[in-house]
Amino acid sequence: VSTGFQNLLERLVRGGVDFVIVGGFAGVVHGCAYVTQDIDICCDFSPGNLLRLQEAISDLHPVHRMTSKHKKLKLTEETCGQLKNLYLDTDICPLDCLSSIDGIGDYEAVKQASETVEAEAVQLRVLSLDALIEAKKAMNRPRDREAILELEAIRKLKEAR
Amino acid sequence: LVLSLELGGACVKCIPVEATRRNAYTYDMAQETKHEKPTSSDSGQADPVQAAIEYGIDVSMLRENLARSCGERIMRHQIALDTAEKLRKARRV
Repeated sequence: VSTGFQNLLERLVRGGVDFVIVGGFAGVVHGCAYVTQDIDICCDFSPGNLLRLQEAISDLHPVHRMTSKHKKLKLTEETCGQLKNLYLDTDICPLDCLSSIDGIGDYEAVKQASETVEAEAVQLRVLSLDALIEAKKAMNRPRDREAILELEAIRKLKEAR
Repeated sequence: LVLSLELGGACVKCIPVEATRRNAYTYDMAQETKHEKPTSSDSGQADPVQAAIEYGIDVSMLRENLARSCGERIMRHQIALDTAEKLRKARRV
């Protein structure tokens, strides 16, 4: 049985959630050596997909991380339509669900800029290395600039292989 | 000690846990990557590998990660994260 991040990602895949791994963990998948404490995904924010996401992680006690009382995740068809991002905490790790990514665009654009990788016999969509660098450049926070250095070095090392 | 100091900065999302090993490798990495420096005709920009080394990133770990499968990278990340969590929760004795 998988544990940790892998377990959470497998739940999403098996639950039929349409998503792409983005952010710091996408860097880890590409080979970065840093450690990140959460998973960021960009996903289809249609009610059907968000309800599948809710179902997939329902036994991990998901809550809205940014609310003062960590309100339980209770999405309905109606409330889904009002959402742009979801900042959740689960028993495994925080899970940020974003409808678009700076420097790339909406979910369809992010999906176009993604690639499929296999981990523990599970196929995962992850933002491509080039797109991740573009996204990090668009964010341009200090931690993004440090990640860009690693990601650009990885790109160069991959070219040399 | 260095590790615990870095973990103290838990407000940042990404923690370079293995940064403690950086300095020891800097010289070796510089030697190892000399041949990777681009000629000036490659581009007007600095070599990204050299830029990472100069910043203090342990490029040898990136190389090792590239030799691993995505599944292995995720597994090793989980081990590092679990270890960091244990250290964060540890009590001083």
